[in-house]
Amino acid sequence: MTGAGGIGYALIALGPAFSLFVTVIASKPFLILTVLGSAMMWLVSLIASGLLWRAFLPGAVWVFLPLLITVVAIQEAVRIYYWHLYLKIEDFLNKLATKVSKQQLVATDKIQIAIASGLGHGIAHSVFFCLSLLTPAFGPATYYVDSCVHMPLFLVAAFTALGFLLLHTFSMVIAFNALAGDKRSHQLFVPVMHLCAALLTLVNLLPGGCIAGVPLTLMCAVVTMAVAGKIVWDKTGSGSGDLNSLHRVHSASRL
Amino acid sequence: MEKAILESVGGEIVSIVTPVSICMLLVVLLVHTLTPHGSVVAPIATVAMMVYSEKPNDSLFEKLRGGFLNGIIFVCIVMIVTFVLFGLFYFRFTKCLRVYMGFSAFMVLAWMGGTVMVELIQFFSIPIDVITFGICLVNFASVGVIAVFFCQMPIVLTQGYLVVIGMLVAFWFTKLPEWTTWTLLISMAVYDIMAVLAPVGPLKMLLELAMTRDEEIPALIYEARPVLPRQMPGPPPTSSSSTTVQPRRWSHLGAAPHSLLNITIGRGNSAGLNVDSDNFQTSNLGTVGGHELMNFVTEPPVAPEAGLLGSRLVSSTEDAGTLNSVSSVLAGHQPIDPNVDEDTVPLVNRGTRNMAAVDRMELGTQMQPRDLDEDELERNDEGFELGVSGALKLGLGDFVFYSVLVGRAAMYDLMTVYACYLAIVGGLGATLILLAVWRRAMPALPISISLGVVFYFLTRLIMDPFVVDLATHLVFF
Repeated sequence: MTGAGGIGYALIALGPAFSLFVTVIASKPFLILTVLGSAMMWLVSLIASGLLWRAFLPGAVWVFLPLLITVVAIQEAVRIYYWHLYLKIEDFLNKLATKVSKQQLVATDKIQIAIASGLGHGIAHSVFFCLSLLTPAFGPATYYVDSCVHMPLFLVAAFTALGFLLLHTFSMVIAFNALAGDKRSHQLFVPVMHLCAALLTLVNLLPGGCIAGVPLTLMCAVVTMAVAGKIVWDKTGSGSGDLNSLHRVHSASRL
Repeated sequence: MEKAILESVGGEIVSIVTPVSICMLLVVLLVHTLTPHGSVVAPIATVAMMVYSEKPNDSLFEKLRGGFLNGIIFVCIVMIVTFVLFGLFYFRFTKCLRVYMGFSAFMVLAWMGGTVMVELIQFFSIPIDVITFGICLVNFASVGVIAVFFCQMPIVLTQGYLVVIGMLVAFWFTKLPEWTTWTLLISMAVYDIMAVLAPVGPLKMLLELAMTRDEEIPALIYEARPVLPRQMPGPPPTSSSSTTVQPRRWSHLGAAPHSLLNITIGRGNSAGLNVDSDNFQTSNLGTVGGHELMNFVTEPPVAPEAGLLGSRLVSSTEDAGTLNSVSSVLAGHQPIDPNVDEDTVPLVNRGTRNMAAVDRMELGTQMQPRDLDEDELERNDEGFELGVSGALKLGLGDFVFYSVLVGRAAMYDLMTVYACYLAIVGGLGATLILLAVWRRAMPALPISISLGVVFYFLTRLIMDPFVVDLATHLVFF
């Protein structure tokens, strides 16, 4: 739907990612590399899922259910593997910090790395599931799917990509925190939420289902954001004890 | 107040990944705009297609075979030309080299740049007349040649022109037929490994020669300046001579002949932007000349030379930089005494003309003996001298071939572009890490190109139908 439409869809899907990138990530080169690295891992998991299910698509509609379950399982496994990789990198960074006599990683650093990793996943999802489909959207027409006559395909894809971007970003924060602190409930929360969000998009298959599907996805994203926000607030808020331990301190009183 | 580690780690890598990304982005935009889907672009008769000219009706086997032959011939020609250049460099025909390279760069910017500009003007219907266009083009090309070869200009200008040259050559390469492009990329990647790592490889010999003579390698090389502004507290009194002594282009620890790869590309840093102007003028040579590629005679294609000569990635960084610290931490050494911070270490190797350790002692900081020990510990017999502040360098040919891959992916769909972009950047990161670990000149092409090709075919054949099918059913995960 012309250039304005295409740019609009792209901004819906990637606008929050862009602002997160500019405010949090762009000033620290390591975080930029983290975003690229985690995006690449997500891409590899996507290719693995594709290899697994390529033979069945395009196929019957019922294929989607086992497909989603296995794909979400693959992605959560990748997340656990990524966590183990992160532990090694954290160790390495701390050694490096000692070597060049800088401060070791503090809590805000770790949260930033978690945000960057999640953002990598989210941006990869948005790019592959929304941006790469948008090329026709820059043309003079638009496209409606049979099961959704209310919204163009591009709009649904953009909103859903937005939802999943936020979901991926903040569930990585929750996952890092949960795996570090070994909190069962939060560890389970992440895969369950991911699976819920994925299964809820199946609602879109019903005729007229996208009216419900899109808001449901966005609601999942909001719930994830709320949980992540609560975790971060607890970690850095005033109720958590000595503020000095979480912020940059003067070298004299290094902890 | 101490800065966080997170703010400085990785700066050099990002300063190399950024121009590569910009070059790829420009090539994708050009390809996307000027190559409408479905149109058949008449392939240009070039040296690269001497043996086999691909026609759409040929069978798959014929295309593969023809492409393979084209690739082999291309690599042979490139190898011969590299040896010729090496010979010229060896016999010190510097004037000849300089004139040739300046001319080639001018031809790339004027001829290829002009062609691309004309196509863009036609596409966007920009109202501009011939005379204005001619004047602008000649000025643009002249400034480019001067910025890259002859004068010290603001670094952004030089870097910008290098990226533009890479983009123009890459765009030109995307006009080759499809199978030839892929076989060419793969052949170049294989050749790169051989040329840089094998003992008789021309690039390795060139590097060795340049090091023993302490001159710039004659090639177009993109250099990323150091990221952190160096605030030197001022050299210690005993080393005040260091600022007046011409810093070595290459520093060695240890005897030159067998320590081929004891190299540092580094110059003293706070004066670094100006210091190398002399050396820059005398021996900074580079070559790219696209026009040869358009000749129908068997004159060697010049453009890939830049890729060859530059297809190795050499680097050295300051002590606080990622790569040095990465390598020393990976080697598991004890942390250096905290007194050694980034302000004193670069002085260890600044301004030394000859390689004796004694000279280093003369520089006077008392950190030196310990630094030497640390450095010797960190070195294997092919060690990098990593104590000098410097910059990562990437040959322009790497820019060209990465962009060719991404440009060719853009001719299919944007999804392949994103996948190949991630693959190439991942490969580049892996190469840089290998560089830090092995501390020798690394070929930058093989890992990235092979990952890129694999991802392209996987995406095109498997992921594209998968994702499109899911998306058109509005099922996401």
